[in-house]
Amino acid sequence: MKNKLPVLRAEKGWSQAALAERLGVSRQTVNAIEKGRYDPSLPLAFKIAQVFGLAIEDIFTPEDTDERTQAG
Amino acid sequence: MNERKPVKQYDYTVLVILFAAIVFAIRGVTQAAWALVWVWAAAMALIALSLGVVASLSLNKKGASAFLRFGAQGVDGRLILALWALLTALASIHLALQGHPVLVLVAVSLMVVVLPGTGTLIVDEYVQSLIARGAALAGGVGLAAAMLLAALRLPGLDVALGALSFYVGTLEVYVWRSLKS
Repeated sequence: MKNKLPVLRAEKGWSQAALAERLGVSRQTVNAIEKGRYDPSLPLAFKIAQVFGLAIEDIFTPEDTDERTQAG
Repeated sequence: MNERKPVKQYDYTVLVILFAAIVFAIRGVTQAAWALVWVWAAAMALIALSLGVVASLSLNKKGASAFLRFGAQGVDGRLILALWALLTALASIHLALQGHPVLVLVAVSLMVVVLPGTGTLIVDEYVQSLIARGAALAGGVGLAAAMLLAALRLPGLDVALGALSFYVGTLEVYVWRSLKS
């Protein structure tokens, strides 16, 4: 799963720890999501979307969606 | 309509553990038998803890054992885990005082689980996913160690201590390394 979390976080000027505090998770969770090592649970994905005022699909994209778009 | 039939998965771990425990018990290695059951119980408690909160783990809830489903239905996994850690730590200290000093390390590392602050980290969903993955690995390592040590015809107590040390060590190293990377 790809995500725009680092970009969105940078736009807000938040550190990983600051975002983690807003989401109620550890900094390690934010770091793992940003690096693509961990896909968040649905409740956490909703919370992330809520924090940035966006829809989940504006932040997270399945890997194969991009490939299909490029191929088509 | 392309409907895919759900693949049924069963957890045979409990059968393997029970079989090994019965074999050890028949052969008079009662402590090794208890060590196997104890290591399995810890692994199940950790996985149940993770299943209770994390929905995105790649574990099949339908295929999970009754114990796991019980855990997933709201039993406070933290309480089970803390109780397991506390009992094991106390037993380790008792054994350490009886001439097995290496068990102090196990006791100390287990006490970390019940320290204030660790509780917050342990309910974190990423950390839980690491614990669940690590528990599966540690359970396997603990079992392999128990079987190897038993095959070497070591005394039952040494088998039990060896299995426990390998279990705790593997789990903590796995989680620590994953969090560091």
